[in-house]
Order: sequence, then C-alpha cells, then structure tokens
Amino acid sequence: MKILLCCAGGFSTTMLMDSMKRVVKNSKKLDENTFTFKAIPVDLLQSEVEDTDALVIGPQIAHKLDAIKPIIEPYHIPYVIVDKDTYGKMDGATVMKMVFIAQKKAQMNK
Amino acid sequence: MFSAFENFMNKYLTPIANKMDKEVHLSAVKKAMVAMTPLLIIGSFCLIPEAIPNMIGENNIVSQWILNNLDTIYIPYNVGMALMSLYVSAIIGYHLANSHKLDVPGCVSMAIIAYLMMAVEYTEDGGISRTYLGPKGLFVAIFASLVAVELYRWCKKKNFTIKMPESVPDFVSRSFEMIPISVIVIGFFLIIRIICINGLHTMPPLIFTNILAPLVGSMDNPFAVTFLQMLRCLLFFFGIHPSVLSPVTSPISTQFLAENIAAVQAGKEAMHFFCPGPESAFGNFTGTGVTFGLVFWCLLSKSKAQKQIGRVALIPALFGINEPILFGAPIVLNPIFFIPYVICGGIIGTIPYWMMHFGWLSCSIFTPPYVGVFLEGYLTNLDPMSIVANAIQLVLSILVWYPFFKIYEKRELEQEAMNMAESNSAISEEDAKLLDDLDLDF
Repeated sequence: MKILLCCAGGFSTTMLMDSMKRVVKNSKKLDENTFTFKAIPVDLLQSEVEDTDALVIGPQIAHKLDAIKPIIEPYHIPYVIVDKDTYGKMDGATVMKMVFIAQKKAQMNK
Repeated sequence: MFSAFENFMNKYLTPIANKMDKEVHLSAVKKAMVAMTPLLIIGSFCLIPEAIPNMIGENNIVSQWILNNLDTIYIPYNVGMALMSLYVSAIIGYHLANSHKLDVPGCVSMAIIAYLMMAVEYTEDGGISRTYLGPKGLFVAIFASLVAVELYRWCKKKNFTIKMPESVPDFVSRSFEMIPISVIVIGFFLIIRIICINGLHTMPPLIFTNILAPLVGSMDNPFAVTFLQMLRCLLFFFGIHPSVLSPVTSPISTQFLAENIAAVQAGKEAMHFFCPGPESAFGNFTGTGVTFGLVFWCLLSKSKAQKQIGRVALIPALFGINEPILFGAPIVLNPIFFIPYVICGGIIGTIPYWMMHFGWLSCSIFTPPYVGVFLEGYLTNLDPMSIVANAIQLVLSILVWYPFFKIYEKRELEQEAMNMAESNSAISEEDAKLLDDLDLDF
C-alpha cells in the first residue's frame, strides 16, 4: 500500500510520515514491508499520483482541495485531510486510522 | 468580535488564496522560479574560486591556476544564471502547455522565440548581446512566454491550422499545423518589438522595468518587506500556507539575488536585501513568524499537553519548520496569539533586513538549503554578523511570546484542572465503528 503525504514544501509531512512509519513498525498486525510512504510538495502531486493508494493532505494546503481533486479522481484515490490538532501533535496513529477509514469507505462505495 | 473578524477573513482570504493557487499562469511562474534554484546555486558557487586568491595570497599554485582559468570557472555562471530568463521562458511554456493540455514542444519553442524577439539586442560587431537574457529580462520573459502560449491556445481554439488530408502521416500534418500558429505568434511579437524600438525608441525589457519599477523597487524598502512578512504571518494565521504569495514575490527576489551575485562578481557590493536566502533564514527564522519563543515556553510549561507539543516542535523549529507549533499550540486561529504571531512575528522576522538596509549586515549572495538555524543565516551572506542578527531575533522572540503564552497557559491549566480537556478525538463515532471492524492494534 503506497501512502502519499502532501504539504506545501514536503518538510513537515516528512515528520508525520516518520510517525506513521513508527506506528506501522510497532504494530504486530500490520506488515511493515507492505507499506511505502512518500512525502512530497503538493506541486509534484501529478507526477507521483499514479500508483498511490491513499493521499494524506496537510491542513495548511486544505484550501487547495479543489485543485487536488481533479488530479486524484481519475485514479479513485481515497484522501484524508488531517485536522489541525492531529497535525500539530504529529500523531501518526490517528492519521493511519483515518487512512484506513477512508480506504474502507472508498471500498464500500464501489 | 474575533469570530466576526474570522468569518470576514474566511469569507475573503481563503477564496483568494484558493484562486491564486489554482491560477495556471501564476502557478507556471512559481514553478519556473523554483526551477531556477540550481542555476542560482551554481552561480553563487562560481564566486568562491575568485575569493580564494584574496584569502591565501596570489603567489601560490592554486591561486595562480584560478587566476589563469577564471574564464573557464565562470562558464557555468555565464551560460546558466547569466542566461536565466531564457530558461524561465522555456519552463513557463512547458508548465502552461501542460496545464492547458497543449502540444508541449510547440509551446516551449513558441515561448522561447517570443521571449527572444523581445529581448535580443545586437552588439556593434553583430553578435547577440546578453544584456536582457539574464535577470534583467526576467519580467519580459514571464510576459512573453505566457502570452505566446495563450496565443497558441487561442489559434488552436479558432482552428487557425492547415488541415491535411487523412492519408498524410500524422507527424507530417502536425508540422503543417504549426505554420499558421508560428506566423501569428512570431508576427505578434515582431510588431511589439518594432513599435517599441522604432516608435518608443527603447528595448521592450526596459518598458517592463519602468512599468514594474514601483513594485520591484518597493521591495528594496524595509517597510514593504516588513509589511509583506506580516501578510505572510496573517495568511498562516488563517491556516493558509504563505507560498500562495510566491508567484508575485519570487520573481523579484530571484532577480535581486541574481543581481547581487552579478554585482559581487563585478567587484561591487550586493545591494538588494529581499532575496530567497534571507527570506528563509531571517524572515522565517525557526519558522514563519519566528515562533521559537512559543516553542521555548511550551517546553517549560506546567501543562502536560503544552510540554508535549513543545517537544514535538523543537527539532523542526531548529530547521526552520514550524507547522507542529502552528497547528499544535495552536497559533492558527487562536486570538490570543494574533499579536505576537502576526504583528511581532512580522517585525522580528524583518529585523535583519533593517540591519542590511543600514549596512550593518551583508546582503545575500547564496540560497542555502535547510541546514539548520544560525548556519543557514551565515551561509546566505557569509557574514558573521548574521549570527548576531539571528541571536537578537531569538531573544526578542522569547521575550515577546512570554506574556501571551502565560495567558494561554493559565487558561489551559484551568481547563485541565476542571478536566474539561476531554479527549475529543479527530475520528467521529461513526468512523470509530468502522475502525473496530478493521481490528487494529494501535
């Protein structure tokens, strides 16, 4: 499962990404090797979108959703906009949960 | 009162930011400026060898070799930064063509030719002068390449193309398609050039320089930079990343940096303080709005939650990233922190610019990567004074944030004591049920 994280410069989502990686690593039920993470500036989304399974969007670029949607919609990629509190705490576990929920919802709507 | 203000800003600021981000022309300009980074870095590097003989004396092998080969050492500068507008026009053509889903090679060549028609000047012996191919031609490059691609798009829309019979191979008919478009684009810019040179007796880039002089020149004014820095903080206060402003600011700061490098290369002093390096190292020292003070007080806080946030935010702050404290404390949409963040943050962030303005600090000749606070500031201008400037910012930030943090901490502690800080999870109850099905162990 490839999870793509987007913010303005790709710096702060890198921290969130590290936290999510730790969560996956410490989890006994999730297999670390089946997950890939990548943090990028939102401007590069187009070139990375293809094999992505879920998109995580930082709150500081939430206003860009209108520009992001047309890029991910052709691939039917579920997305998560991280709320400010979770982002500030760099709470990878909550974001992982959000990703799983978004994915599950996308599967149910199919 | 604050909520009325918040509603007002959300009603107007967010849609404007959204529009600016979606705007394809601005976005192409922004991406082209980002793409200039390697050229500017190489341009800065080329300044280093020439400085070596000054440091170690001229009478040794290394210095002699450098002095004898200066022309070669400057080649990357001469074909890179000194021709940067040419690169800019190509990259803008590329990105705008992609946004409009047009033929990319066609648009790129139209963008370049349009720009060259505006900017090429001949020397007396018939060679091409470089005068307007570098930073001086930046604005005309942006204008020409945007207009060229738009003209291309318009021609396509109006079907000004030569249609070939079906039997003609695709690549042959494509080359015919380009003929009317090229004629229109090239003709248009040729007419502009003729009007400028024969009618107004000036080169097209100079007209742009004159029209934009108030805007560009204003960024040499520390008041304007202070205002801009406050505007950046204001945007971030509403949770919008200030990079929405970069299509307007980055062409100016990039041009200024290039002019600084060129000035130093010519043995003169760098004069522009509004450059990308200082923007990051001083303006956004420990993050936009110089938020280190808040991180510092959070670390010392009696409130457990605040202390935790301080810990998370410390390391990124030392590398100039402050999203954790912005969203964690939070500063974003927190009325108590409006004054220290937007007003004081804007002022503290621009103190080093004022120092440059008064000549106490050297102007930037390099854009360092995020190497960490203090070192980043030093690398922008190689002036030890920049460490002093950063230290002043650090102390001021800690002082300014103290009273505001205390107000906030008091309120937080009261809530913690009253056990009001119930765990309002970011995940709704409905979603939590889905989560149970997934059977996760974290």
